[in-house]
Amino acid sequence: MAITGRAAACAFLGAVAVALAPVPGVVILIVDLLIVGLVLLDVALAGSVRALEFSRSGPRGARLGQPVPLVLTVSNNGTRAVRARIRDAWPPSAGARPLTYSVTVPAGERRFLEATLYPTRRGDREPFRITVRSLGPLGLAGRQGRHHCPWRVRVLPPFHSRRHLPSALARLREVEGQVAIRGGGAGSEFDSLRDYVIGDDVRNIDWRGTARRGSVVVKTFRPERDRRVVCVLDTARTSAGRVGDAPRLDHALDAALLLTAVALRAGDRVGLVAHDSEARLTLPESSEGNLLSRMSEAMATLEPALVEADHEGIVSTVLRMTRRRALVVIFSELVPAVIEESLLPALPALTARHTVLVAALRDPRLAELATGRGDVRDVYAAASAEQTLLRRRQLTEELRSRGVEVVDAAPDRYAPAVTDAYLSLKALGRL
Amino acid sequence: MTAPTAPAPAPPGQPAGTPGAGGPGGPGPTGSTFQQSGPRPATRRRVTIALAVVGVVVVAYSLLAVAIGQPSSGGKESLDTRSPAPAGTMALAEILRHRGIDVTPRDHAWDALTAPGDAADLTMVVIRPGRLDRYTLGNLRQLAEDGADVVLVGANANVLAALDVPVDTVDTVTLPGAKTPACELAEARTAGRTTISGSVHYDRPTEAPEGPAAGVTATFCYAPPAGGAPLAVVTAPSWAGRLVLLSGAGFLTNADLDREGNAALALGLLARHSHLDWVIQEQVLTDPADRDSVADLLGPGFWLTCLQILVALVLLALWRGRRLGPPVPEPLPVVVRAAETTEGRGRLYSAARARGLAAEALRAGLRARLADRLGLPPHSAPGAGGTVRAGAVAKEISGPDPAALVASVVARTGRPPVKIWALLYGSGWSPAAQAAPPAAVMPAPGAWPAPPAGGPPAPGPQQPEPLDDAALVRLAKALDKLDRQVGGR
Repeated sequence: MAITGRAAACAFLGAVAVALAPVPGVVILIVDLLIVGLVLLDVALAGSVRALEFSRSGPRGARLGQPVPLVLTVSNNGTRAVRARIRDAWPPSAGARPLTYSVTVPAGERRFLEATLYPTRRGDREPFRITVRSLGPLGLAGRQGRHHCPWRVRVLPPFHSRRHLPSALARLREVEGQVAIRGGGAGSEFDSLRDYVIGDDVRNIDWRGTARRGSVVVKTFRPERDRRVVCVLDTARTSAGRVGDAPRLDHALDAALLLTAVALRAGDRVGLVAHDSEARLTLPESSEGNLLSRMSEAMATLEPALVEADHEGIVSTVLRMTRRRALVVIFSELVPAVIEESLLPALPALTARHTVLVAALRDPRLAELATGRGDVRDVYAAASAEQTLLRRRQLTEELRSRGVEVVDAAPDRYAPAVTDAYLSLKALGRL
Repeated sequence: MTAPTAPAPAPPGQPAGTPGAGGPGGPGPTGSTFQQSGPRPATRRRVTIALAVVGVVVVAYSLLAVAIGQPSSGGKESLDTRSPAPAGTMALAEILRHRGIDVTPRDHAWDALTAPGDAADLTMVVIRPGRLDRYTLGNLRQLAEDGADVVLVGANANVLAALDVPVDTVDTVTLPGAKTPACELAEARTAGRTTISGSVHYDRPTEAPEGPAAGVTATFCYAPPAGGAPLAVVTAPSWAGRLVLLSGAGFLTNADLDREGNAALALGLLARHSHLDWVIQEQVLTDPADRDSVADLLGPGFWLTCLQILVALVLLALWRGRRLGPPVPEPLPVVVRAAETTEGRGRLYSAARARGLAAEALRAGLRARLADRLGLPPHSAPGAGGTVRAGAVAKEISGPDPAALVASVVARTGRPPVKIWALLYGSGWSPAAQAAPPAAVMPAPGAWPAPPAGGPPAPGPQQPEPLDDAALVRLAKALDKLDRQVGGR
């Protein structure tokens, strides 16, 4: 049961009547009994909340940033019309609009309530509860009750780096030799034979073919296809740090999606591992067309965990996952606690079989701090930032000295930089 | 009223809180940090408007109160026997004196009660008897029993209860105008129509009196067909005198005495004895009979209205308090700024005044950048940098080869190697480096600028470490300058 502002307004009018009445004692009794009586009557005449039935329809997923239009259907199975205020409660980050509805559902009919979600975070969003306040004919009071109508909207990572996809694919075509450029494609995999032209590398002359044809032919190569790429997402505590306006993990997801899109187009197989102290997510290598959407779905619910990364575990998971040589891209952070204490000891087992690429995100705030000269506190902060930058530089050297490729890029260049590194390795035939 | 406590609005255009905005440090870099945040202009405008509204209401109320609450019957002079004003009663007093009656004006009932004289030959008029206490009123009744005529003007229910006479009051207002006596009182019948009126009226009690009031009878005159009478005369067989109750004395004033039969009634009531005490009770005794509490004044309707307002407030609370479902809980991911630790360390350096550490970090950063830019290997061979003073940072971070770096920078900038070394490495002028770079890159002797002979304040080899914060800032700026000279930002 719930009363409305009208009941309170009636009571205030009653106070005026009492003040002006010659016999206030009688009037106050009449006024209050009248209000109580009307409120009870209104509650009795209000449409039943329990007789309502709710159902939903609409998309079950969307990329972050896209609105999600949903429809909530209210059916009135009762005998009286329901004049109600309805609140369909979603978690705040679902960004549901509008918050409440005012609707009248005649008996035996149904109404469609349209809502739009504007999610502010990726992940699964589920409605909390539907609260209905059914008002009586006088509008003085009503019944209040709740309903549950489950639904789930999966908000996928936004994939902002999709805009870099065309340029990355152009570079891929260049690498594969599908565009007319001098020198043709690079790589080690045999593609076809063609006539020798002056300028070709004499080492590429196919003597057997030359003998058969009578004219000099050369072998052409193309980059290896059907290689393997494993994206390793470090979801441990360092991935929670916010760079720009998103956590490191979100930047890594973005870069991994772009890399996957390009690698799939290049005919490679891509796998995914998300790991902190234990494996959060494992997608076996695949080259199917729907891998990208499956990956997005799986990534949607990844959240940083406030634990230390277990790189031994990461290495053994990757080794279990693929037996053949692969490019292992580790999306992690260049801090001594992670690299020196955890990754470096586990690295030899990985580099023995695979090519390893460590993709780290450089925080532009550090460069900003390092140039701060406003007052003495800024200078101290600049010194601290210089120290952090030096440590990153040192760790980069250390990793490179062990044969690990390192990408260290600012957020706006992060995803293309990782993809470029992959394409360079592919062009060099190091996959 | 809250108006006096609010600050006076400042003239427009002058920002609030300007004095002392910079704190004790005065204007400077810290001024913006500690700026006092005064009320914003919008807030000030709202306050001004509110004050203006309150002021207008107060003034309007005062004017209204003055207009309505003006006493209709003059000030101090009303009913004064010495006053010729319209509200005075000098005319009546003169007429009585002409008749040989000794009129004595008094301003306290006790003056009259304690004055020597025969009670049986006394008429006593008391104006505002509500200001007397029960004891004095009892004395007045005793005076009436002893033979005096006691005339009370405007006695209300409380006074009547204190006098213990069988008369009730009726809260009706009579219309101004002449009234007919409508009673058996001889004086009234003689006077005929009069304009006697007042705010309180008298009537017979609904129950028969008992106890000391038994036997006391009252005569009511000038009563309208329905309602109380403005004149009541109380007597008893055992009394020698009588008690006269007048609802108002307006018909005795100079203005009204000559209208209708007013003068006749006045003489009939007041000229029965040769002494007349005219008491205008000014002083309110400590326990006056006519004392109403605020609650009595407000009446029962007030409290019931309050109760009803309370009920309404409860309903209002119930309405606003019942929400449409609870707030929705949501687990939020922990997200901290990635640079938080770096900034925190900067603040720690600042708090600890770790100038040496900070300077070394700044230098090491620049060394690494310069080596990058000049194409030098980022790490020197082991032992080559051994002469560099080993600070906490330098221990962890091995930089490029000092001699090669200094030589390259000197070649690029043309600044003396001593200064470059001091900038990049602080102290620890290595003999090996001292020997090598100048020989390698020494241009024509004339191209060197004059050696720093203590003139410029830039940190030289003899001043290796910044001694205060200002020196650290100077070092940072000097490093920036070098960076720019070698082609950096």
